[in-house]
Amino acid sequence: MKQTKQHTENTHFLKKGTWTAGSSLFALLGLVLIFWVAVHVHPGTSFLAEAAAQTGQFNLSTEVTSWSGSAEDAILGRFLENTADASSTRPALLGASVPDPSGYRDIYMPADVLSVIDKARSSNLLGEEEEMVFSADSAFLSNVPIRIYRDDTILVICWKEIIDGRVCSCSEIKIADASQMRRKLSQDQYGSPIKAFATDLAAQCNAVVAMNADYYLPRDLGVTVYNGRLYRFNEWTYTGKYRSYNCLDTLLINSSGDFRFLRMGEECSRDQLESLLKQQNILFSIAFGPVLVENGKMVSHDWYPLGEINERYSRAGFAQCGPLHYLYMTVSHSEENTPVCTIDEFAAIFATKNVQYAYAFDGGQTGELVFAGEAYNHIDFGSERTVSDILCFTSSSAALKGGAGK
Amino acid sequence: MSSTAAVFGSIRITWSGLTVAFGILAGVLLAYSLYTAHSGRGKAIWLVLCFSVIPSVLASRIVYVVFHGVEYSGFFAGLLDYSDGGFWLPGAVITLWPAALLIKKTALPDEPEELLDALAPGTAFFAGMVRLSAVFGNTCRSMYVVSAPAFRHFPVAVKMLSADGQAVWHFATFYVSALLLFALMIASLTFYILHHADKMKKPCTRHGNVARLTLVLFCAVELVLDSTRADRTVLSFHLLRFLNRQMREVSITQIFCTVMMLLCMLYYSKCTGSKGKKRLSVRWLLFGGGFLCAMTTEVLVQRYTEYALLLTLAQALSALAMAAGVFLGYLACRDRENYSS
Repeated sequence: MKQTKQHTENTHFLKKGTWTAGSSLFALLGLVLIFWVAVHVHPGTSFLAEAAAQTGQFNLSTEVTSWSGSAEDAILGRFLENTADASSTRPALLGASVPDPSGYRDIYMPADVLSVIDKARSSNLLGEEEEMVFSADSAFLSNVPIRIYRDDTILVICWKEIIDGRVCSCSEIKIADASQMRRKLSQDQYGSPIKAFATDLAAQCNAVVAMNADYYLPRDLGVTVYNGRLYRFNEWTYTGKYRSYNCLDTLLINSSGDFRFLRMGEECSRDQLESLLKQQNILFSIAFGPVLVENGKMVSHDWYPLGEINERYSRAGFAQCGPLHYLYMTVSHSEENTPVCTIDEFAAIFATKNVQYAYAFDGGQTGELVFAGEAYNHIDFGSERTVSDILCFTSSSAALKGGAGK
Repeated sequence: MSSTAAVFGSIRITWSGLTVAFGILAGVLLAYSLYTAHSGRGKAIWLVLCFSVIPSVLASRIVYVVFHGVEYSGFFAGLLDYSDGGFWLPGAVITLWPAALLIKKTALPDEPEELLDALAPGTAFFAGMVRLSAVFGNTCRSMYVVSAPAFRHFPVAVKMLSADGQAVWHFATFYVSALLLFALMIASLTFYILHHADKMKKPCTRHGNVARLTLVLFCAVELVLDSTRADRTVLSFHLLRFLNRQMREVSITQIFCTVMMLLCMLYYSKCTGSKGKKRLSVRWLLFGGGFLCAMTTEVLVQRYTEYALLLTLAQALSALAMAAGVFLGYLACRDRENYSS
């Protein structure tokens, strides 16, 4: 038996005589590989660690020494509860009125939309001179209704039109008060690993209309502000002259609902940014981009870290037309597999809509416009994907009736 | 606590990276000790290390990138850029098998099964360290909140602050997983010391049983705890909208674990003798019943989350039943007439 084993070993290319050196070599190589692992493999650390640091979630010594409590609590109390829907009862979201079902309408004749706009003007939601993006002369997609919601505090018009052969799903929104624009993170908690369908997140905050935002969870680039608090600001070098926080254009939205951009390459310290957030009452940010339109002029880009801007993909973007007046747009495939676009082509489409500022959100399958609880645009692959956040608009008609509105 | 342990120029070493590396090193040294103590060649262990590290990282990354593709700008970018993102742990564990086979084919005549047996306890330790490395990142990874004050403590739960400043205690999936995997390491080590060379009925071999049973228990742990995760790797029915909504989430890890357990079950089925056949129905009933129950509880827990505790406990029992079915298969395959090796 031993002879057979010895014979077999000698027939292999690594002969016994070479093994002392070979063994040491492989041991050394193994150690080098372990070092490589130490440097490169750090599962889920970078973006989640920042959440942990922000929320102060863990201190081992505190945790160990504070281990106490009675088993009776465990028996009497429920041990586990799901939190996916718990956020719907959080006080912060109770201010949003449930949309009035009679406020929804589907219209097939574009001219009929103008009468709805007139009613919004007569209720002072829209100013007399305020221009709408919606035009009855647009090349609407046939057999698709124009969907509308209107009450005293919000007007939403959703339509699909064809521009340069592409199907653009648009939603024009006018609100009475900036508090009706809400940034909804899953579980209302920065860093929560829970993802949900945009329709579910929209339902949790009684949204009339909602859209995906930056899908902030898996990335650690740009600046993230949520409820006025700075959560994401990393200063490590991203590439070349850019650092993590300024390698993207970041959209900041203040308490008046106005846009401000923190442009790519713009430098500031954490303290400077925090003081800027306070001065300008910034409520939240969205870190995807790039900026598509600034001061009414299209912005073109050669390079950008996210969104494969020079490839043709489904796109999603958000624009401010005026005070408390917004436009959300997606360019996506349709049932007829119509073409999609590069970021510059998308910016050019936005520029034709006479918006003041426009900014790209996460596109692809993430790009979704939710109206009345369901997806309005065609989503890539025909189905929603789970996301970590949305941007939504709610009615506040109940608050208005109670005297708390505008 | 900062996640960065040290910075050397452009190289950033994270605590979690060091923890994972320590897990590999300790696992390899444990395997080396076991293998050489039983007349094995230590150099074979070093070779397994060399052959498996890169494929392990790649395999665990490939699965993660394929199913979390949207987090990356492209497949190869996700595959090669390790600055962020996750890994699919079973991918790292399973690559030991081809590495051991490769050694037999190219370098040494060592039996792969013998090698894998020695590697099994160390691999369980390594997997536990990978889970523990989450202490330097997000520790919970769980969709559940722990509401009972008695359990709002490490290692069962970790505290997070909600946006309105409220403390929320999440079930600490990774800590619980780490503890179970360390317990598995001890069980595997004990089994190796006592039974790694027990004779088996033909055509089963006397080696490889420690690895198989360790894998089965690893799969049982992952099968249950993966169900509690909020960030698990799931199949997405992109082209079938109806299924996407109806099936909710079909976990890749759970599919993998079930298949691995089934393969082990089938392996032991091929070498059961006449005595073993009498137990066939019992162990297959255990395995099949456990499988059906695990599947049912998974479907239910995604829909009736208010019963999560009850359903998760039922799923744990189901996974244990499946593991027990495989273990009965192993017992039936042992050659009792030549029990002592």
